[in-house]
Amino acid sequence: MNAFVDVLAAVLMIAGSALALIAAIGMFRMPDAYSRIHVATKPATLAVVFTIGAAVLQVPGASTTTKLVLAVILQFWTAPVASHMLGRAAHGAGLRPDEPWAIDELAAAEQVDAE
Amino acid sequence: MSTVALICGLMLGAAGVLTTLHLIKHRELADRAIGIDLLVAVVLNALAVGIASQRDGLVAPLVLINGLMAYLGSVTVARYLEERRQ
Repeated sequence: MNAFVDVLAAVLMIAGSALALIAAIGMFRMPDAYSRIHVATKPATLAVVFTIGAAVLQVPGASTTTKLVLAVILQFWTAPVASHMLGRAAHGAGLRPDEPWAIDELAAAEQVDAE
Repeated sequence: MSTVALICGLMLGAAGVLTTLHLIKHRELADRAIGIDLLVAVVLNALAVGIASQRDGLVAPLVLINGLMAYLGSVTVARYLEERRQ
């Protein structure tokens, strides 16, 4: 049982670290700011679940587990808000989607507001 | 377990270096805010990996604080960028 928990924790740790590395590579490969926000969300939510899950498996004691689980819950609450704000800021700074298939609904709405 | 921690440390270190290079390369302010957001997420993952490999919950509050400060920082920078536009 102990060895099984160790292996599970190791797999979770490596998966989380690999997600962070893939996201860092994706920052260079993605064409515009919005795709980069999409990339940056993965280490902030999924990888955090993996690595903190490994930490919860490895560390005994309820107080540490409570803090770590609270950190995951707060991360899931706050990460979408931060991404939304960054997306609005990027749009306000004049950055536009670089993909031909992207639909810029905010620009259309602002045009309607201006008229 | 120490080998796993070493592999994770190398991957997270590479992620941090690549994100810093991205910060240097992109001069647009909003792009840099996104890069800093990712950098803080990488630090968060590194803290969690450290806790898991050391089997010691001493720095668990730092994970909590790091996540909340990342949120506060990103939202504040985004607000200031929007205010500057108007």
